[in-house]
Amino acid sequence: MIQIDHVHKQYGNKKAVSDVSLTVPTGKIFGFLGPNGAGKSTTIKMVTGILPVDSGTITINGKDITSDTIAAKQEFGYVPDSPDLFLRLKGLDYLHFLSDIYGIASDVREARIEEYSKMFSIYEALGDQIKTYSHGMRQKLFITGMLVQQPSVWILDEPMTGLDPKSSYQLKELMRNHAANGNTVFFSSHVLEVVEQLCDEVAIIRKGELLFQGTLPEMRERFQSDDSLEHIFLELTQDA
Amino acid sequence: MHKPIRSLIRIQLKMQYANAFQKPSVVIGLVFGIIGLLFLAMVFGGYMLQIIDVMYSLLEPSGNTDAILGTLFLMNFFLIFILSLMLIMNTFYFTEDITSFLHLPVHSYQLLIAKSLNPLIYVYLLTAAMYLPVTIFYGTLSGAGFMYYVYVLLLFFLIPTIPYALAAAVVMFAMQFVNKGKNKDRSKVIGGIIGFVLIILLNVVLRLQQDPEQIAQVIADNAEKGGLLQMATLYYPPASLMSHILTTAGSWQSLFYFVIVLLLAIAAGLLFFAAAQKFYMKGALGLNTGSGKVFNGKGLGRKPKSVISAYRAKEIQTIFRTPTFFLQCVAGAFVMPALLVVIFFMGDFASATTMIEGISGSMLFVVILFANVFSVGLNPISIVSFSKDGQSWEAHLFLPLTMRQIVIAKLQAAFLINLLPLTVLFVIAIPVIQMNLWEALIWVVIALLVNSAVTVVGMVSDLLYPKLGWTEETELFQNRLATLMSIIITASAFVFLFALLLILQMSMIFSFIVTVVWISVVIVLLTYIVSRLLKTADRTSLSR
Repeated sequence: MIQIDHVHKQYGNKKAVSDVSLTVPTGKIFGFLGPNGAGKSTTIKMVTGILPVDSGTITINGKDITSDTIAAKQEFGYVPDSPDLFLRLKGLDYLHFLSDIYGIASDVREARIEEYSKMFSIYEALGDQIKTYSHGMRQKLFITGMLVQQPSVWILDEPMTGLDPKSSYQLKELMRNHAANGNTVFFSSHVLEVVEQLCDEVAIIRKGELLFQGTLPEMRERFQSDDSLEHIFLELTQDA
Repeated sequence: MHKPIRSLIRIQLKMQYANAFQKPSVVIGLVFGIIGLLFLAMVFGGYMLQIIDVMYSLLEPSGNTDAILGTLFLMNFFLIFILSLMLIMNTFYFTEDITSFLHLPVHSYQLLIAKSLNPLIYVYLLTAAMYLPVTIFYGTLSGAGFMYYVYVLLLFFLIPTIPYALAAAVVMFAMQFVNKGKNKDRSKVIGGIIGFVLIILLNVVLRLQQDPEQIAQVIADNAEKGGLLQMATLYYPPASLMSHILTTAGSWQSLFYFVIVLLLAIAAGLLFFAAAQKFYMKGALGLNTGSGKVFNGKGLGRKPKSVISAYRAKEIQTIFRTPTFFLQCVAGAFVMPALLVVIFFMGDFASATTMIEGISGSMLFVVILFANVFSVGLNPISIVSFSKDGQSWEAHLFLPLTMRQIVIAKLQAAFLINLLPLTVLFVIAIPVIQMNLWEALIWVVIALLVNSAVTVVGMVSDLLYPKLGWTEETELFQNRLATLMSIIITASAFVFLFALLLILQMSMIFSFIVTVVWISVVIVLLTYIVSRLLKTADRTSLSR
């Protein structure tokens, strides 16, 4: 479970995130929506410990990301929005590096690397440097890394970007299974169809402020609309 | 100028230099850099002018002083040609941003003219350093008139064009064969190693004849026989044309020669244009970084490692697989001991041994210490400890890694790589010093201590002036205040020690004890600074 409590973040005079409180429960897929520059990535970066929190608290499975950083980081796996990291490592080296950091046993990692890299069709490229991968392949490698690690909390920033339809479908299935097994899936997306099909709950953020958190039926009820999520989203996020 | 060329130049300038001068660290670095260059120019220039002075007085009686200018233009040609070969190879083919331009609807020559901006800055700086002092000095010696200096200035702009265009044509022609389907990284490493070999060879040549008067005499003797100008004409006809322009400045004849040189420069430009249009794309499009091999499952099962050893392995893999890091930190590490041998002994171990035999006690100790500091002191491996991560640094923020683990692993990786030059030096030293076991042991301990200190110094410098926002790895090795800071800290730490050892004139064993204590104190102090710097740093950018 991820608990975000009255979190603020400011860059200079600009408020990036203002008094956001969110609960991402276990056993559910939670979608985080908002237009560009709304504060989605800043919030995710604070949750993952990349950015320090100005005020408020964030806990992951009860562990505070600010005061109990390493223990909190052990709880989640993260797929960043731009997977341009460790470009000079070979795909396989990256997966082993990650497995060592998270202490995955030798036989377990071997089986998982093989299973998931084959599932996402990157097995044959594991001997190449990440630098030579396409955007989609890098995305798949980072997803594979998270799957090898198998943490209880998944945090994915725009995970479908660059994925081919087959991989996209497989990831959605994995997300469903992971949540169904009592784990947490927290992801941001621009693709509203994906959110609509996949999410048990959503949160919408605009200009750093949380506009809504709840299930899709709750959203329709609250905004008294039978429109598609796209329409509601557009109305909610348009400038006043 | 064509609009696409102007736009391409503007974007190149923005990418490389935009906001650079707004940072105080860059300005301070630039000021120190200029002071350093001026110092070098004074030393080298003084040496050159001494040669010119002697040559002029030797050649004046026979009226062959124009050979001085002929030699100068010939030397300029070769040096600019060699420098251009290396710069062009890097800029036209190996920079990462090149693929961002290949899809644009611009001609190769337009792209390459814009890409030439940066190498040409270096080429003109070299020309200014070599050509201007000599021609101005020659002008004062010969009592030249106003037109002489006008032609000096005009020729300054024309001189680099011919060797630069020729070098570009050679590289473009060769690269279409060399790189077709080959690995870009490997070609880059091979190119870099050739560069190092050229630097060492240049030093060997300089060491072969060191006495300026002797050099002047040799050149003058050749010139007396008309040999030099003939040679200049034979290998590079514009050299003699250019020297005629200056010696007959003010006459119609000089104007005629100047027009010929101008036409030759235009012809060089056309050659550049033709080579760019015909060969460039063939070479550039053939580049790739992939191995093309299908993964066969080898290495899938691996023994788990501790966090620190996994991180250390990642560091070493990154350094060895990134051509720029490999060249600067690994291949370059062999250059320092090699230069040390060339500069001091020219490989003449017998005379070196005789020289070393005359040294004893603290002096021998200082020699050992100096050789080790010199070998690792200039290796930039730890100066890029954090900066080399670039945008991958972000991953350190979400992975469950403590700063302590990261620092220890980075120090270990830098320490291990710095062992390479120290080992090379040690192997060279065995026949030179003919050490006994005790001396060898002292050497090893000193080398390890120096290595630790220099490694931590580099890390402190990198934390003081980090550079994570780079687009090209080479940016980490150019104009960085961290490099200067590292040299200053290393020099301050060791100059004091050298002075202490020389003043106290102690026995070997006391020198050893003083050194161990001093370096240990330095390491402890610097490690404390590292921990403070990391506590106060903004973790996202590492800046304060």
